[in-house]
Amino acid sequence: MEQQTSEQTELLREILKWIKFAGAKEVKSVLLATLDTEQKRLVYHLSDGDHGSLEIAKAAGTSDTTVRRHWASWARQGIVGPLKVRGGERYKKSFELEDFGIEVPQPKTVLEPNEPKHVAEAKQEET
Amino acid sequence: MSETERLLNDIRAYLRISAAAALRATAKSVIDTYEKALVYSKLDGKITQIKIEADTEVPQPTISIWLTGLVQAGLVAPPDQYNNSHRALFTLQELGIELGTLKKRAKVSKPIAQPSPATVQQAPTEPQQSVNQKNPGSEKSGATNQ
Repeated sequence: MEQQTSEQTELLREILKWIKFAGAKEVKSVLLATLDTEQKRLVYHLSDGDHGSLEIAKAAGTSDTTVRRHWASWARQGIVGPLKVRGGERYKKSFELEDFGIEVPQPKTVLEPNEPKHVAEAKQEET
Repeated sequence: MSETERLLNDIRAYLRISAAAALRATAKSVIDTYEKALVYSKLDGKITQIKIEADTEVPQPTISIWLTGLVQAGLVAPPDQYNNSHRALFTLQELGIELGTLKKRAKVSKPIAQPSPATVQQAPTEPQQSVNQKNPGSEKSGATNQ
């Protein structure tokens, strides 16, 4: 059973590799057209699912409302995905800008690495 | 999120963007009016044609004809075991369609397809079930439990 799961995961990895190869041009084109300012690129890059809109807004030198407005628009564009978190919803980037040779601007303030969601949830359950 | 889920999410993200890009030209020729785009944006797999008619003021028989065309173009999934109604496969934004730039269709005194003027006048107030009977296979009722 475990071996079968492992083989299936390997197969999915291979499928993803070819799909990435086939779709890279289109994805890059959408990313470039959508993320047309340095600030948008930075907000997108920082949308890792571990940080909330307030933290990202601070690091990108913009407002929380702007980050959320970008997320809503990018979700309709299909370049971020929703993520349920305690107290609401945030969005996570579906693509890494570096994978497409798109330069990532420097954040205005450094974002502290947050614990991944599953670790934070596990800790919360313990308490 | 498991490794399998992560991989499947990535695969879906790439496929959606590739498919939307491939269908963009078709979408622009099929979704060519403001009202059609508005109807398309409401296709969440749950909404009934009667509700769309109430929201958009597009007659239900016209909506039914549009849905057939949208399914044939590969832009909409027909009702199935998971969705009671038609479901848009993309967002308008993914298809590069901006609602604000589309022209409104010319006002017509009669809907595009109608059995008789008397039936059309009754359509908005008719119970949903009778509309579905008039258009067999056009859309399942949202109230139908499966």
